Amino acid sequence: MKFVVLGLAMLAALVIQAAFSGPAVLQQPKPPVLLAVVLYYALSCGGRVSEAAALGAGLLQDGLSLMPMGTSSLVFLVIAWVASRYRRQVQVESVGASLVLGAVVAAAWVLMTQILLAGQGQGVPGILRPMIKTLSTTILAAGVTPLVFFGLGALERAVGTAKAEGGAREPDGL
Amino acid sequence: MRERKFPVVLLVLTVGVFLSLPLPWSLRLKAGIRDSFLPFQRIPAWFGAGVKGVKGLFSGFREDQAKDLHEQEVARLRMEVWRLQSVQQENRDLRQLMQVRQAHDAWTSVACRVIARGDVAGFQQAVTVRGGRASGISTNMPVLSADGLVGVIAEVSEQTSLVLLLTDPDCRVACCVEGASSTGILRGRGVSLSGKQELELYYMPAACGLDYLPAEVAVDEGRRVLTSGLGGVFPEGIPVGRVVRSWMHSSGLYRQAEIMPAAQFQTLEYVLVLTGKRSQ
Repeated sequence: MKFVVLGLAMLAALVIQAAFSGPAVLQQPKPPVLLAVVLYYALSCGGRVSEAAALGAGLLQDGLSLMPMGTSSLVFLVIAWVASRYRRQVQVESVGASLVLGAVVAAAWVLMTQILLAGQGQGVPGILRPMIKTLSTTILAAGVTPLVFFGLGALERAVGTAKAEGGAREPDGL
Repeated sequence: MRERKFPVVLLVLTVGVFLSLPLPWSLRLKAGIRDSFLPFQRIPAWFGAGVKGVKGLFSGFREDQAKDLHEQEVARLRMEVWRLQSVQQENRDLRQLMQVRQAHDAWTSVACRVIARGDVAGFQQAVTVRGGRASGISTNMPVLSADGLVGVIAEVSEQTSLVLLLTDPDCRVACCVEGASSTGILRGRGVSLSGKQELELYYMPAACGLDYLPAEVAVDEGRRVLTSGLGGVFPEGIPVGRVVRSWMHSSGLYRQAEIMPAAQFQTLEYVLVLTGKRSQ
């Protein structure tokens, strides 16, 4: 059931991400909704679920964009693994934690992707515009991530796949 | 720990396989993903239309509460006018596109609607259009709007195509400056810090006529930039933009120019894909 919820969440995230775009003056940042979904599952579940989320989200994003296949999967997997290592220190329900983590992770995502694209001879030349894009995406992520965490948490509670209130965290991979 | 290592290694290998897929396989996989996602790309458009409808209905209810039937009829007619204005604009866009099609009569073409703006990941300048292999579209076909060149088909699936816009740094077009016999290469520069779409042109000045002019003289400002037809991808004579300013490159070997694009990328609704030359 968790994988069904994950699949629906990724689909909804993709629709939202495809539909919205930031202002041109800020280098047209996209709300990193897919990344927020990956981060949620990395922090709340870890293990198989977070890896499936990272791989699936990455393939979907690359499939619908001009980026080479596997680029986003690689970046999302690295982020998911790093986030999973610290999942026991982070409260997913905390708005502040999700805001800060979302911003930091989004900055890392944009920087890593731009480096990968530059290595393949793609992307915007120079330093200033990529930095502006990183900053604007970070700000968007700070707004989007708490909303995604709240939505996914509510959905998981509604379908019964969330962990019990006040109980121990789910074992890795479930 | 050993139990955990195996799935991690498998995952890394999987990502490695995707990264090193041969290009045709990678494109085929992406095409399949894009076609599968096509029904969901209509959701934002439905949502937008629904919001407008609900707002109109709500304002209709408020007026109904406060005023009589006559006012309700006015509100209904107002909504109808809004709908007809939208249809009128769509009609205008399509008529302009027909003029472009007639201007390039030597080419067969397909009109496509833009269904998504911007790359999903947000790193490249692209739009998705409704029209793919089933419509006769393939990669590297030129894409025009009523105002000028828009870009080139970068990826194609059965039902949709990804258009790489002129403003993307990966897009290159062979161009010439109208009336100046100067040919060169046009390249996108993304979005400027002021929010404008930017293009730049690297070109050689004419072999004669400019020899005795100082390099500082901007002889090309305001001139139109057109496709030169060299390279075989873009037909000759398609408007690309206008020269905003030009200057001699520091090497002294060629000139550089800042170009304002002719196409309005932010408001693209319909585009024309040139699918091939008509047989004579």
